[in-house]
Amino acid sequence: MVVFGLPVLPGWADLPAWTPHPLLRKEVKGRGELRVAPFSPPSGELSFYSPDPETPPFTTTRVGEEATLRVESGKGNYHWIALHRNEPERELSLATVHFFSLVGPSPQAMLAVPKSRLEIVPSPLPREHSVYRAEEAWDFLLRFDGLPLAGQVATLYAPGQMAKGFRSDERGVVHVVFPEFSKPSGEQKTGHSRRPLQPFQLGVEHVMAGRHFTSVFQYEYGPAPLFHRSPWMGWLVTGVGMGGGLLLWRRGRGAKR
Amino acid sequence: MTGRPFPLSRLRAWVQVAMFLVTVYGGVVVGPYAADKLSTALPALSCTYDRQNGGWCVLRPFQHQTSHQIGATVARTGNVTWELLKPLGITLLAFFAWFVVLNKAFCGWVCPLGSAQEWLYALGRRLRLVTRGLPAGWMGRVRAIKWFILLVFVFVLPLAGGLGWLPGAASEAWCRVCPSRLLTTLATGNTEEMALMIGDGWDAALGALGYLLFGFLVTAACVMRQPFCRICPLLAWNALFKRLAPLRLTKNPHPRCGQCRSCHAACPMEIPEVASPKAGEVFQDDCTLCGRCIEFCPQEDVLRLKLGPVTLIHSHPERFRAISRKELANGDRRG
Repeated sequence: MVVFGLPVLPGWADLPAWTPHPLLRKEVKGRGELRVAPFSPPSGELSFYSPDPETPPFTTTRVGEEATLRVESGKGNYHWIALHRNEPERELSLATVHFFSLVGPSPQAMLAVPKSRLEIVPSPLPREHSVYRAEEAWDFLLRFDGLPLAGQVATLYAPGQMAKGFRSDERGVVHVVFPEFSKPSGEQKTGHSRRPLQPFQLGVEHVMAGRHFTSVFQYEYGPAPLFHRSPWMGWLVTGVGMGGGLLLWRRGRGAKR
Repeated sequence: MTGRPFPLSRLRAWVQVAMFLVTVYGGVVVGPYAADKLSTALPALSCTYDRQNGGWCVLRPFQHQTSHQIGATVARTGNVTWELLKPLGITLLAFFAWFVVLNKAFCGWVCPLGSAQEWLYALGRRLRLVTRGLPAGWMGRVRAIKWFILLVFVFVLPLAGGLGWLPGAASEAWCRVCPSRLLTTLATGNTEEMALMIGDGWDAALGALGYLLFGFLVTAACVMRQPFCRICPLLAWNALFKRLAPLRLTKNPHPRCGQCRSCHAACPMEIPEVASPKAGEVFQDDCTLCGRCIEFCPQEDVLRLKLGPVTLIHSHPERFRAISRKELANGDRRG
């Protein structure tokens, strides 16, 4: 397997087959602590962007190594994590986000600031307790040098699914419909609501002045809204409850006009 | 009293509509990120299950922290420390920051489910349905239910879920039952929460209990005032702190107190003590500070809504006459 012209290095044999891009591996160590490891050839640097505009981004100095991010209360909420790799003719930006369940600034300012020349910006990110879900449409903004990139195709990759392309509109926005959820696999983990989650990557490529730019946004999505749920059972039981309440409508003992 | 009496009921009706729009649809206006910020700043508003709202209910973080923070940590380490209680303390402080302003007026003026029940009752009056009150002798038993729900569904079951003694559904036991979750999500056009979770027995049982309760209150509220508020754990939680906030209902008893019982008839929570000649009994745990008793008291300066030493509004014959021209104490419109 070849990734950006580089040969597969030792230890890379288990790179998942569902995506052609490198991956970032996140390991939650606690409420305010996250370990990130680039699951990609060891070149590139990891940068962490706080939602707090006053906090400058933190960039790892030792290329290719894992890094641990710790945040304190008041500086939580979504953080942007990006792997940047510059080569003579290519530039890669692989980004993901992590929600720290601590009070913190809105991620709006963080998302508004360009963090690489070509980038995919979720607009918006899911709220806390909410996730991207299969069969739902979510918007992502494609940006190049901070300006919307219209007519560009972003490709969605997910385990067990065919890659699917989405073209950006004149505002640079792609409406991504998340595909069906795969059967349980090693790629899945359990989310906040105990629903399974699996990774996805949304990638876009762009060539400018002979230089090849690739940007990938990686995160997780869950199964469709009605996974393990029964609408008709819910409405049926509600109807039974309504019937109980209707008994009070009868004229008779205890009723007043 | 000089001039026209201040129309408290009308003001409350407008505040209820406005707060329903803010708590249920606020996120549409301010955007999802600001809605999250509002959620953090206003911890006793609407429901976290709404995807576009402007707030969430304080019972949610209490369950969350009891389960994930305390229960799960104790299960993992076997130690109980004061440090574990810190998040609950912070949530309590955040809750109290607004409670000190509103006291239990949250229930009577802001809560979307409370407002919806009032609107359903008004609909029932329009349709000339019968009305029902709690049967004699039931008041004490029904009042106890909200304390039971608060203790068991908000603290005990989530703790047991966090400790691993019960399935994960128990970690948010009250949210699974809460009818406000169903109402506010339905109000945004989202029918997803109406689908019963069938993950395991606890999922299904808690969900079914919620749907039964929701269905019951929708039809019962047309003929009975505030059927859910009487057992609401948030009312119980608010009642715990009612003496710590300056806004309150007070009484300067009149010799005729307990005779006309107009205040009792006007009370949406049917609190009999409001008509009692004993001043200390008037601000009951069930009181939602709606102020209807003040409007329907025909005596001057007997019932007051006070903010600390300042009287915001007090009963007056003129006020009584003004509202009595429009409606009866039980909510029926005149004419």
